Amino acid sequence: MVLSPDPVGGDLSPDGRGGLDSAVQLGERLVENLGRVLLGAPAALEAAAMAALSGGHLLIEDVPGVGKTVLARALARSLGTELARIQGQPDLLPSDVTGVSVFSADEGTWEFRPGPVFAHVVLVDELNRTPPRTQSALLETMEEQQVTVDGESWPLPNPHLVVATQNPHSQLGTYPLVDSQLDRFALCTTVGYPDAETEARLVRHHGGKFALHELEPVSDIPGWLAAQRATETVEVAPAVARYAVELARATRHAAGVRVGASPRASIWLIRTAQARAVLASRGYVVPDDVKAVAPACLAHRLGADEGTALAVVRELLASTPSPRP
Amino acid sequence: MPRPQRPLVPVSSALALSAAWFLVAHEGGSGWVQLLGDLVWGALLVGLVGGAFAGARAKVSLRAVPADAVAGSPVAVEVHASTRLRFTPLAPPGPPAFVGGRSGEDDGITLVPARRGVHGTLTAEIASAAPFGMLWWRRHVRLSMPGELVVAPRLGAPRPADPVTERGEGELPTAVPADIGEPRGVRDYQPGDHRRFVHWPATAHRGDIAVKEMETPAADPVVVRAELPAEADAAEREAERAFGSVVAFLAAGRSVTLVTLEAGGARRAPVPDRKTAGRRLARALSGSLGAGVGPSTSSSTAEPGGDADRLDTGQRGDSAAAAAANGQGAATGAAVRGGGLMERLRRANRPGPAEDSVALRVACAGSVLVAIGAVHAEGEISGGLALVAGALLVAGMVLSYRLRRRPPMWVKAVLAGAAVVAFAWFFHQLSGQQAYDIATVENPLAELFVAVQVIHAFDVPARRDLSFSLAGSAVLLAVAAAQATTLGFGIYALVWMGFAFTGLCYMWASAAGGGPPAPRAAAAALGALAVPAVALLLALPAPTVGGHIVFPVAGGSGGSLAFPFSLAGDRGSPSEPARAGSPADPIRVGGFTGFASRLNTALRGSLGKTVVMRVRAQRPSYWVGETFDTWNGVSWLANNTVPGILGPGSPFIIPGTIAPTGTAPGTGPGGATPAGSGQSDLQTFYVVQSTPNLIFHADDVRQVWFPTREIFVRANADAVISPIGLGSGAIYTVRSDVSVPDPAVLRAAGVLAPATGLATRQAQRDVALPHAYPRAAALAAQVTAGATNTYDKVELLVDWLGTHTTYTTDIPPLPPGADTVNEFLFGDRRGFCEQISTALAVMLRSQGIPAREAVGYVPGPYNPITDLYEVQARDAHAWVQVWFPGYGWQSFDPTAVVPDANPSPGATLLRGTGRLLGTVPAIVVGSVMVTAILAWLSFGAWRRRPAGPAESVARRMERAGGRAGRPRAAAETLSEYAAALETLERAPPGTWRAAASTAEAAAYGDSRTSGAARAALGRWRAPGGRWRGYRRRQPARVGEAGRPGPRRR
Repeated sequence: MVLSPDPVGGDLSPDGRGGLDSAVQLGERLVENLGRVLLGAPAALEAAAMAALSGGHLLIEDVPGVGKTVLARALARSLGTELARIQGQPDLLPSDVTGVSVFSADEGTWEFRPGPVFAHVVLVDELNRTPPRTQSALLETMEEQQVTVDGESWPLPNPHLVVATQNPHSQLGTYPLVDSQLDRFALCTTVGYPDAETEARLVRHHGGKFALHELEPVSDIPGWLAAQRATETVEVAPAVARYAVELARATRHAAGVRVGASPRASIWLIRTAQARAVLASRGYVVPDDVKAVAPACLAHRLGADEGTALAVVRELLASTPSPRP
Repeated sequence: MPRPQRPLVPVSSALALSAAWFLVAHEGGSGWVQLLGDLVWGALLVGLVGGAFAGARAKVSLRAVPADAVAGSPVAVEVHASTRLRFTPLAPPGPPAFVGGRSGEDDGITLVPARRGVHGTLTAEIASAAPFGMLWWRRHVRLSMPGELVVAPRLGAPRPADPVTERGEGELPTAVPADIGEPRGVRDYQPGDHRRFVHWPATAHRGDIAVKEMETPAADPVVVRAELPAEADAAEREAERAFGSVVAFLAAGRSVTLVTLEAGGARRAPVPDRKTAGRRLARALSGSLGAGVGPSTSSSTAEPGGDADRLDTGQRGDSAAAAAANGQGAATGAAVRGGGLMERLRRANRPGPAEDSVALRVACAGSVLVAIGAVHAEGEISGGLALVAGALLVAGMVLSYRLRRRPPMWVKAVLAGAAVVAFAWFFHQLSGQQAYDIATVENPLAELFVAVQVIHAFDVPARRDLSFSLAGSAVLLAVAAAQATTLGFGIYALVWMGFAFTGLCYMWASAAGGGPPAPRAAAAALGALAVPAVALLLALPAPTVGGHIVFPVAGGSGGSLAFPFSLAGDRGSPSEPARAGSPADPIRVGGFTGFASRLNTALRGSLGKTVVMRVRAQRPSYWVGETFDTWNGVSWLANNTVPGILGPGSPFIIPGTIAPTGTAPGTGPGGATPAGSGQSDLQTFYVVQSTPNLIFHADDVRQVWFPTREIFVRANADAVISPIGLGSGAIYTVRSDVSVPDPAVLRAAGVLAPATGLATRQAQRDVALPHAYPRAAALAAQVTAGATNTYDKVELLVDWLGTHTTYTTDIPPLPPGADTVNEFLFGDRRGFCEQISTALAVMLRSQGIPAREAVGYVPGPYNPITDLYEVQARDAHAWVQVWFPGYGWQSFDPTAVVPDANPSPGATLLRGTGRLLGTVPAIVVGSVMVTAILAWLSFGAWRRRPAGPAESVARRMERAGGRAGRPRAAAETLSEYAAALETLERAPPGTWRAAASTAEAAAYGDSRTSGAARAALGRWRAPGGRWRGYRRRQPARVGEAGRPGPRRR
């Protein structure tokens, strides 16, 4: 007997189901849209889409020229907003990110001029070139979604998505990202080199720029927000949640790991798994979702020796018992 | 492997306690002592070696170690231990701490590194005295640290002459101003910049505000050279001074360049802060920097500090650690070995730390109280003394708990005085006695033990003192157990064991840093203790009376008799005169009609299972009551009914006339002392129920201990008669000759004329028959034809009776006027001991062999717990004694087989259990067991039942995979597994995965899966039948991943 799976599990209340359907639709179209621009990197596309749906920030780690910025730009455009860009460099000051209070001579008052971080999608290019104090400015914006200048807090637009890139191979003149900064990124992905055929297509089509200009938005801001809300309602069975927690806990005692995953990591493991479930047109999270997102979600948070974190996570995935129906 | 720590005292104490206990058990012949001893020995064994097991099996690891430390300052480290341990860091050293055993949490310990250095490992001593804290076992472990621990030197005093600037000038650190700086450049104004730093020329030039960017400190870096001498202490001092100089300069705002010799060579690098300086100095090697330091090597030392700090110097750190460990070990070793005898004595007597555990005190006090109660229950101390002792003990325990921190001297003085008084009183008690056998010492000794326990209870401030209390209670209980004759003592034993075991567990808990004992460890200890205890119980021989100890005698509740020399007490009332049984009134003691002046074989008693008396004996034997020499066809009669008087007081020596084993002078063969005599046993009889006033004994009684001034002995009739009634509680001891001559010897003696050695009158009586027994005589002659000696004749007759008669107590009454023997031998040949033995006696007499009838008891069932023979009413018995010239009367029992081997307690217990089980009907047992197994299986199946259709799909999938030789890995999700199986089974794509997805939807989605989907899940079956699975299993080829891979066809 052959069974076909129920698309959304038939398990949501009528009103929730509608929201989920539109989220599923948004996810599908988002991946399709991004795929037009960034060829041959399905993992990065999926990570970007999961970040957009879950509301978590995305760290892209790769060598220059593989399309990190293009991906961020395409993401912003697809979601119906414009990309705010912060270029990381050693002279970048916190106020360059958050904005400053300027004294208005006419009115005799201090006026707050918002910085580039006040945008729905913010690209921080080469994040590790900014000095730690400037990175610290991002800590508040990423977690609290607000900016505090001169004792006054300014909320950032909602939804707020930070896409940061860093170049792992060129360490000259960089500041390693602090643990608290890394922990705030929900997902960390690489783009990777395209294969020869794709690269040939890329060359013929004049890179992704050509496609980027023709990109149509798949959603507007309210639609995006609704999709995020719907993603949060994706059902997580207790066994699956326990599996995610077990994975996170296992990193804390794993060999070669100095600092394990935080509870925040467990939270984002589940939230990104929810987003992956939406991308797979499901209204519930299965253990495979958790398994699939774990490398991108956990590895960059571990205080392990260089290059070993990913192997540690893969090893844990192979050794941690998964739940059985 | 762990080594024991100062094993001499605990091991020798345990050996001494064991040996004492064993001696008491085997001299006193008390099963209770041995049974408790098995447990005590098991506990001692487990207590002594338990620490070795715990120490060897313990797993210790370091969980968190900080990166930096300073010599001489404590640094906290987290340790995880699988069991409770004493953890003493050696290199780097630290104070001992107790770790582990508390619900798996990590424990913090403190290290106090003595010297600078880099540690990659921690050498520590772990010690355990689990489960009872008796003997510490320790071993060294080397734990690798999660990260290196870099120990900076102590902060020494700076040396002004040390530092130089790059230009080589000597300079004092205090000469540097704190806030000087030099502009490095200018930059744009930022809000918050102080106007002091505005660079006005640049501002004017640019037209926009420019601000100076300062670089501090401005001065030339100061160079501190750490030249460490080869000698370790001097190097440490030098490193401390260098550290002091660096820190002083840094505090003064100067930048400092530190020159050290490291594993890779000389290194010259700036130190931005104190921490870096400490780390550099920690890695610095001893030795001369030489001429290599300077401009020529500056290029190699100019690399950034961060990377160079990562140089692996683990090996050097290890050697430093080992050196430190050696130093520490040598120092403690010297301290332990140092000092003369006085010093050792002082150390041994130094009071331990005050014991705070109330539970431990309660357990110890409880065990002593129970032991006192047991001693009282066995009648060794009076009730008043027990009450007073108990009250004083509790008061003493409370007082010494209150005063545990500072036991005042006056208490010790008072206690010493009390101890002297107790001993003086003990010796005063003894001085009144004539002989110092145990019977006279026993009760004063028990009182002395109780007194010592009570006195000791006033001075138990420390754990060791409490352990003495516990051991003392064990001794006291052994004293009580030596006297215990009933199973009732088990109550005391059980309660005492409960207290003592609790106390032992608390001993370890308290030794290991306090808190309650871990229940699992206690249960494990109990299990471990039971193994040697049961092994000992099964292996050790029965404790037998040593033959040196005569137990105390007592008169019991019998009371005096109207006619002291006559037999009495056959109706349950000890003082009532005994009468021969009559057909109208056949019931006598326990239903036996024999213990009177006549034994009427026409009567049929009914024998109950009431315990009549308990016998402590070295070996089982027939307990003889009296013998009869005259047979009248129906009854046996005792000829001499008037006994002689024996005095004056215990012990009574019985004259040889009634113990005729070759003792009649000049009657033995050749006048020599017969072989086989002289082996005598002690038997102690504890009267439970009123018995006749016969003093029972084994074959030949020689000596009697009895609590009266005189006893009566029936001349030639072989009965020892008590002048008082023997009621419950009476105790007497008898020494009997139990030597049984070899059959060969008896055969040799049996060729003589049968009556040789008997007085003529007596010999006539012993072969006399009331009338001729022609048929019986003919039968006897026929049976014994060919036998040349008495012994063979007796054996042949016994054999004949054994094969031609049957035993039953259910025979009809003897018809009036009939002869018992004729009725029995030529009737239906059914009868019990009286008929069978009488028939033997008559047949022997018909052949001219002197024979007589003896009545008494068979040994009775052996109780392995109390090590006593429990004689029941139905053990009453009658048998035959045959005269052998030179060897006297020898017993032959044609009725039953005499138990001829000493029983072992373990085997008897096993047999008893088996017999008990055997009484339960097999069908009931079988059906109960089958029901239980079925219930267990179905309970298991019920517990493992699928929670829903999803789980049943998962299970079917796993079964199918198992058949195909590809079980699910634990980490595999159902979808992954389904995909793998799909490949393996070459199934149509999606068939398995779809089922897995649906199952997952049902499991993780919600219970609101549609009914159709659930039903479909329930009907799902793995594609491919069972038979396919079987076929696949056999040729399974191992794929690359070590699993059977898909096969090509």
